[in-house]
Amino acid sequence: MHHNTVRYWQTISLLPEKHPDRPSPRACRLLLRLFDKWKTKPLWLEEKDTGHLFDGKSVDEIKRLSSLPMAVRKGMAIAKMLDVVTTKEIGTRAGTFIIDPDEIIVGCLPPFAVGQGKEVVRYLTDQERLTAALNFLNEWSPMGHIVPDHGVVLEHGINGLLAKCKELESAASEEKQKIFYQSVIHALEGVLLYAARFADLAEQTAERFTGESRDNLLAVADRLRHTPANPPRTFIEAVQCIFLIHCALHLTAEIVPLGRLDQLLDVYYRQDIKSGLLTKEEAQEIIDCFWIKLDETVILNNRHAEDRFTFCDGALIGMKGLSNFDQGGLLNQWMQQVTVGGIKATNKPKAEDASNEVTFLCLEAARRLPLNSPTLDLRLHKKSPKSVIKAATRTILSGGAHPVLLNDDRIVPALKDDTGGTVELKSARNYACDGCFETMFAGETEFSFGFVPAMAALEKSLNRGATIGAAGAIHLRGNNDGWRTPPAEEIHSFDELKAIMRKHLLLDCHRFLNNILNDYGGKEAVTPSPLLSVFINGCLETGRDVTGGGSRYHLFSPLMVTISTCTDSLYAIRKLVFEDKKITLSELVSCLRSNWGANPIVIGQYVEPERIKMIRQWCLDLPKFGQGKPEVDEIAWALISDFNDAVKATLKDPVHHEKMEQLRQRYDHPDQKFEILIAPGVGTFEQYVFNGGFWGASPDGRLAGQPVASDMSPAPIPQDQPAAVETGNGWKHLRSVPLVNGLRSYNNDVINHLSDGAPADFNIREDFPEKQLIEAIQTFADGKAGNVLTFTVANPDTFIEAQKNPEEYDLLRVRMGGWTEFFIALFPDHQSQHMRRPLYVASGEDKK
Amino acid sequence: VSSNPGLTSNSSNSRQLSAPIEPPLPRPLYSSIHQTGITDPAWSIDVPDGVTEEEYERYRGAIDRQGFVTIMTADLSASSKAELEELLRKLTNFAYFEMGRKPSERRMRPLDPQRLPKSYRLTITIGFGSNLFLTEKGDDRFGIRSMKPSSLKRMLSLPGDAPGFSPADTASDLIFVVASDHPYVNIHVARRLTKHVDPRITVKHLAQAFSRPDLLEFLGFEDGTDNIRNWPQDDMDRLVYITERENEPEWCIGGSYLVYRKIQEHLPVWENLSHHREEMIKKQEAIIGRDKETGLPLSRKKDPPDNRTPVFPDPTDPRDGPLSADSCADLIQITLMELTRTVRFVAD
Repeated sequence: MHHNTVRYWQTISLLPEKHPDRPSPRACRLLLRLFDKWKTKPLWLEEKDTGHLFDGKSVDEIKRLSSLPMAVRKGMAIAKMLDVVTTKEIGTRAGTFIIDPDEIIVGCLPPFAVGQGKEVVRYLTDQERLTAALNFLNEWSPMGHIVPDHGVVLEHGINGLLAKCKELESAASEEKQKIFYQSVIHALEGVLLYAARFADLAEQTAERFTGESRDNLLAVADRLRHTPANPPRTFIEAVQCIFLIHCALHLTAEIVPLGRLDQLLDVYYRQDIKSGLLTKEEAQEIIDCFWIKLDETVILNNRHAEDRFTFCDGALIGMKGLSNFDQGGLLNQWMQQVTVGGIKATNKPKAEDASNEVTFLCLEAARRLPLNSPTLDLRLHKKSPKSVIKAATRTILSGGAHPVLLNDDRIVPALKDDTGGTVELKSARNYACDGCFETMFAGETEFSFGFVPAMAALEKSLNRGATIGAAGAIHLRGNNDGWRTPPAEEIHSFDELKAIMRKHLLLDCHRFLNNILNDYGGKEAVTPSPLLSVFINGCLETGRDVTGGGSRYHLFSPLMVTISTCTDSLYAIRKLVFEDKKITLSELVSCLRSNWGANPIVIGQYVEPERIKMIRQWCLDLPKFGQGKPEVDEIAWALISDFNDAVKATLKDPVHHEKMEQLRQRYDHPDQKFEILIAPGVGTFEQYVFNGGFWGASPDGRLAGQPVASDMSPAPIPQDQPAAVETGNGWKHLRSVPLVNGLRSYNNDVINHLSDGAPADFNIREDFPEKQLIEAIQTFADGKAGNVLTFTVANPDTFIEAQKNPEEYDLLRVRMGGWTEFFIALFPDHQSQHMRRPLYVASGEDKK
Repeated sequence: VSSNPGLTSNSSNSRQLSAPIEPPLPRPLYSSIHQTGITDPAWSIDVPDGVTEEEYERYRGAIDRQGFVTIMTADLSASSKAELEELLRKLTNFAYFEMGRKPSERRMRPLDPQRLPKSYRLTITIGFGSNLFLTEKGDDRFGIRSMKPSSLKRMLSLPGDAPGFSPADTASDLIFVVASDHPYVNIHVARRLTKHVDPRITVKHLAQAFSRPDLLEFLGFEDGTDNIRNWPQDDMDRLVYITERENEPEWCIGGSYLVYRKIQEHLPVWENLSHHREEMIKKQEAIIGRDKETGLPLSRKKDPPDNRTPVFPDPTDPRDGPLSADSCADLIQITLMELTRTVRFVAD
């Protein structure tokens, strides 16, 4: 494991040439330049560069353009964007049109991080813009977050797709369908131009070189002249094709992942190896170079961050609200994600392992290249080969926090049978991650999500329907957000409390579904996605955009957040109030309203400051979720079960039938039945800091406004409490838990209901024994842990030193769900969270 | 560089081989496609009259360093690209003016002139720091971030740095390397640069340095013996300067990178690696990778010229063994990239 780039080079340069840790000379040269890029601020397109479709046009021309259907203008805006970014002046200044003579895979991704925003070519008229704004939408609203099917272009090439669209347009019976195909044609023509421009640039650059560089650039140009216009013929052409399309999607505001790369590339790999056109080493170099391209816009210094958000970027269906800078989260998260492994996408009764040689090439790239992107997701199952598990272990221990592990045996059946609709087996088996960790049918679905916070249900249950975060001078008791339920003094048992919580939970699930149903289809009128629609099964077939019901599936996820924090809180209530009877529930509610004594303006029972302090300490001292304590873990499982019951009840409730029926009538297609599918999950994502800001003090001892546990991870030690102590022999983490115990907390089938994924993020030491980690991953693959598992490898001392000397730790990477980040680039609250997460240690080590 | 008039035929064929080479020394190149002071003054490739090839072998195509160097770093308070351009013009004019000046003989007494050289061989080399393009805090003051040379960055923190040393604190917009054969010339230039060129130039740091005439550095080894030069191949021209093949911004072609790092030498430690002199020298030689007396490399194989170029160890050959991260001799043999080390021997 390398902590910094200098040490990395020292180690690599001392290795013999064919050493497996040493990338090829070409990859090393590119890596060296990549590290230099990371030290500077990425180049950005300016708003004036992208501008509006109408810019520079005559009055008559603007009139003509304005009269075109909005979707057609969107297609033209995509084409314009791909034109603008490949003009010499702008492309050089904005870093979108550059080729390094060592590159074998070319194209330039923009730095459109989910945490920094993006730039687009605008296309709405003023009137359309106003109408859209009233619905919290604009040209920046595409969200991405779905898995495109690159197989489409690998099979047909852009030329083939264009021909198909033109044919479908001619045959289309509805005007709306014709408009859709026209928008797609504009967008695809833009992609052809984009590829041709890069081919030209490669040829022009080649003129300056001789020898190997010249030959390479000319070969690059040749490949781009052929693909993506036509289906790729070789492994390297396929990688180039996928990357170029990926660039085109990102440049046009579709922040999407790459999908099941090993499944897409396997056929090319085998064919080229068989024909002698490719060696395994050459294939590894191609994948390494591809990996490097996916990590070019890193910032290590958060002073280099941009805030390009408009008020409705990346709009989620059903969540009308403002978009803002993401509290320093996701600065280096561009959804560059690759899913590998798992089972094959077939309808055969017996599942077949899908891992292949490309799976290993990806794992190896993630192991030996010290990058944060792409995020590699590895699907595992009971029959995953041991070699895959071993390779994954070595990759994790290399320190990059890759791969994210997913359990097919838990996820596939749930996606197939538990979403409330009809899903083909091979679609469920073909799931991939959306760029973060959310699981979905690759290339076949649209997706959105909303939050159902467990802490909201708990606070409202304790506080007569009001949340506690806003208690005090402004809202006194708190913010009224739910049913008026009995006050704390009238709740006499833990079961009563849980029953009240279920009512609040149910209302929040109804709200989630209601918002989706009300809002569905709204984006189509403002921000359709013609280019992305090409890669989503069902859209071309039905003549509909993915934002307008075109995809085969329509998947939505209510995400229960703060499960661990809520579980720890419920355990404290059960133990201290109802079992040991050391405190009363009213007393506890007063403690919480007062933010554990920090806020003097409180109504309800008065509690002496000293007693508040004592009660808090009792709460802090209790065992927590994620330590393998059955008495705590059972509360989490009950909570998830209640959540699942509430989701199912919501779907069946007649209150939504009318709107469901309206959508069916609007979007049902003779070949494609319209169904809303619901895949519950867990997901604070990066918002554990932001999300914690909503909630009051919690019975687990956490102060108001402090970060909550991320996703399904065990809660961190509260930020005002010490997390580690100096022992004279390094720092000792104050919440050290044997990894085997931690995994036990997730060994319950109730987690299968969370088919959208419920990541548990574990920190382990840098010297964690490889053998024990192999066993832990095998346990996970065997279905005896959760459904998504991640590891961050760092000692407590490493974090502390990295805060003191950031530059010496510029390769220290940490993971939260689908987001890998350079620790030194994180804002302080995020750094603190990673340092305060429990440390999972080898068996027996916790007693040292 | 190859046509640089260095040593010329100024002595008769009867000169003894052991006799020292006399002036004129190589002159700086004031009108070249490159900035002066990077690879000049340098000895000519052609063997001068009166000198044997063997005698001249270690001079051919090598830089002949001036005796004194002053390194200055400075920040600019210009507020626009136009102002930056104006300042850079002023600096260019200033440099050419100073380099064009001749030693004044006005006050020389009748017996003095031979003590005054024809030229102090002044070179003023100006470099851009990465800060000029983007400050540490992420500010692109002149809108030129996209024009930054690809590898230009501020000095990294390195393992073994002095506690509390932060290279970021020393980063600057510009660096000036003033070299000449007399310290007073450097001081004059430094004063003029600090006070008189433009008030928007703020000099942050100044280091006065010199070369030892015996070619040794303070560790007791010959310095710069393995430096690249233009003989027998044109390595210096080929490796030092950016060409259109480097994929750098067009304005960089013909320029070069400068790595400036002051290294503190702990001489008491170095001189006490062992209580026994012979053992101490052996340890020192193992670290440097050269014989202290002769300057010859310790590698099994040696290359010309004069057997002074080591053939790098082959880590797969058991006679060499694996490379070690603790050995200076191994560390400098990084083969992943083309590293060139143009030494400007600097000691405060």
